Amino acid sequence: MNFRQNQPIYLQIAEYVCEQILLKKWKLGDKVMSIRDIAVVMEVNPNTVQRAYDFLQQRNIITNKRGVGYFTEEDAMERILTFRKEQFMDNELPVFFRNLYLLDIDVKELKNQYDQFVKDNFKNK
Amino acid sequence: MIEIANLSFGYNKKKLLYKNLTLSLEAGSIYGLLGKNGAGKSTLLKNLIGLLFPTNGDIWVNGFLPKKRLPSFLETIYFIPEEVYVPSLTIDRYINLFAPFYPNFSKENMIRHLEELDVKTADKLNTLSFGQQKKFIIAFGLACNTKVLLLDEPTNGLDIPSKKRFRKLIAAEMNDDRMIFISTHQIRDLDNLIDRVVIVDEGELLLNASVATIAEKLLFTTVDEMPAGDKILYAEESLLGIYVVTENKNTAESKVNLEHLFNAVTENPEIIKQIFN
Amino acid sequence: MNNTFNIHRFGLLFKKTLLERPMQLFGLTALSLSIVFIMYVLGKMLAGFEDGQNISFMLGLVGGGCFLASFVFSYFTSNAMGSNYITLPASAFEKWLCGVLITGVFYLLLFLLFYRFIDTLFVGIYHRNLDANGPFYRQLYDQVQIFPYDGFIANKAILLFVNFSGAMLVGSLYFNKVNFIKVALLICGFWLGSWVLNLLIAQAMIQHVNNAMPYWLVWIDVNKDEGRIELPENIMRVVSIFIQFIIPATLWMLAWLRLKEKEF
Repeated sequence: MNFRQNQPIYLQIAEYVCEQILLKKWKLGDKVMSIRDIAVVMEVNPNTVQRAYDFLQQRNIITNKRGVGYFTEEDAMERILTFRKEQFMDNELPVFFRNLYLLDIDVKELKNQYDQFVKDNFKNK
Repeated sequence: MIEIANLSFGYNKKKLLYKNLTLSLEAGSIYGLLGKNGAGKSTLLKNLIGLLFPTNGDIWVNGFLPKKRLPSFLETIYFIPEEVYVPSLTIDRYINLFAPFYPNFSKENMIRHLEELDVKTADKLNTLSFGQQKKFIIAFGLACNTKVLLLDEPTNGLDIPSKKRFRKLIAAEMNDDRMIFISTHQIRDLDNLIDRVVIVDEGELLLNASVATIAEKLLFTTVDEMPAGDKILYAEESLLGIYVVTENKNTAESKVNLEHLFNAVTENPEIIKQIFN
Repeated sequence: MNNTFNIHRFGLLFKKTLLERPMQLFGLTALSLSIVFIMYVLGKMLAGFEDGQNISFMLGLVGGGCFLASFVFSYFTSNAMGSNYITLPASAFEKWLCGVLITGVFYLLLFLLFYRFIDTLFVGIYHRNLDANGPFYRQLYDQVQIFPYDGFIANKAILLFVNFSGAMLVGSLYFNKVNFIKVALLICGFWLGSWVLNLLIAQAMIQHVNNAMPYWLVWIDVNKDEGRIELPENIMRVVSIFIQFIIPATLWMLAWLRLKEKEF
């Protein structure tokens, strides 16, 4: 996995987990990948993955069933969205706004393009 | 797990490589020992395993003095030097002759490591390429399941796919009971594996901190213009802007860039000490 | 667990030592024994039976012993090999004992057995080929005997063997590279030095010295004849004990201490 420059890795791992749920690759209530497996796939220190999972646990997105592993909470969707929104607002939106400003693009101009994008990519929703 | 107290070391008594080094290392972490060429990274590793003896001060590893080289100490630690030695033996023969010295050696793990690192041969080990030999010894060292594993420039001599395999293997084999201590100047090869950083320069310990603590105390950002007011610990121009390292005054955490960290620490040792104390 | 000696661990170490470099170890031993054989045959042909026996015995024991002694601790030719050897979980005593057993016991026994074997063979052939009815049969028969292991030459050879191979063991732990040649040069230097010193002292104390042999013999010119002065027997005994036991024991022990303290 390619990590972005500016965000701590544990947060990027937390985002990755949420992303998998949002993309419906992992179902709510199901077991998530073990710390070791994530560490191997992403080539990161297991302690960093642990930190990401601790963070997700604090946010009540996943829960630790002793001896079995980590599971997503059944009702986590709302909290996942909140977390992802926060991350998006903090990290991606400023870059996006900066470019809008530099390129002198009117926010209103974007409305149509946004609708088209949703239609093209997420027709099924 | 490793206690170094007032260590001084020099190949001759007048010119000391280390002066009064005090350092304590715990199990459950992958330590990255960073230092410039000739800063004595290998020398420190050799002191930890008892190949070299401190000029002054004490080292305790797993409760032993390494310089005594007791068998009960040596079986708790494994050292992989930058250049490895393999005798003219087949893989099976090597395991057969060398593994019994390590009580926690796991043949199952060894076979799995060899598979993961893509080392296979029915021939003698010394007919393998340097990189393959090194991967064999890495597989063996990990399979010995010693409490402490010392690696001196482990990625040197490994090709690109091997480096990836190496990282995956280390991530998989790390656990709370063992400590992996890696000396390297190839920071990028091991970036996300290291969770505690030890930086030495000119015989002194400049930093021993976890990546989490570093992210708390220092800010690694990319800016368009040099920020005014803040003390810049390190700056580097790039296509995306200027990478800067400053003290982290708000609570937001950034991704620690080990290369920039190393430069920031070696260029401003005094300020770093203040920030981290 | 015992940190100085553990029989199980020692067994593992001994097995590892023998099989890690089998080609070199057994090759070196085989080479030494072949040279003994060749020297025996050549010496017998060129210099006579007895000289052939003496030369090949001396060479095989001292030369072969030194060869092997310089090899058993020669792990320090490369950084990786040296650290692999030192960090292997076995005690310095066990590692030392391995080297000592291989050189001082196994090679010695193997050599003595092999030598006795070829010696018996050749002496037997010689005796069988004699004409039992010839006029000098008894004389010729008695002229060639099996080389006695308790004779003068064997005694001196063993003396040189324990001293020189002891020096080789220590030397190979001091010199990391080409230790055989370095120690051999040192021994030659030492030998030459002691010969010159011995001669000078003899000349200072005795007139008309012709030659002197460390450490017990001085030849002097008496008119046109030659005379020998030997050490008195009681002093000779003290010196012998020193050379036969104390110096070699010191050297062999020194190898252990050095192995314990060697930094690499």
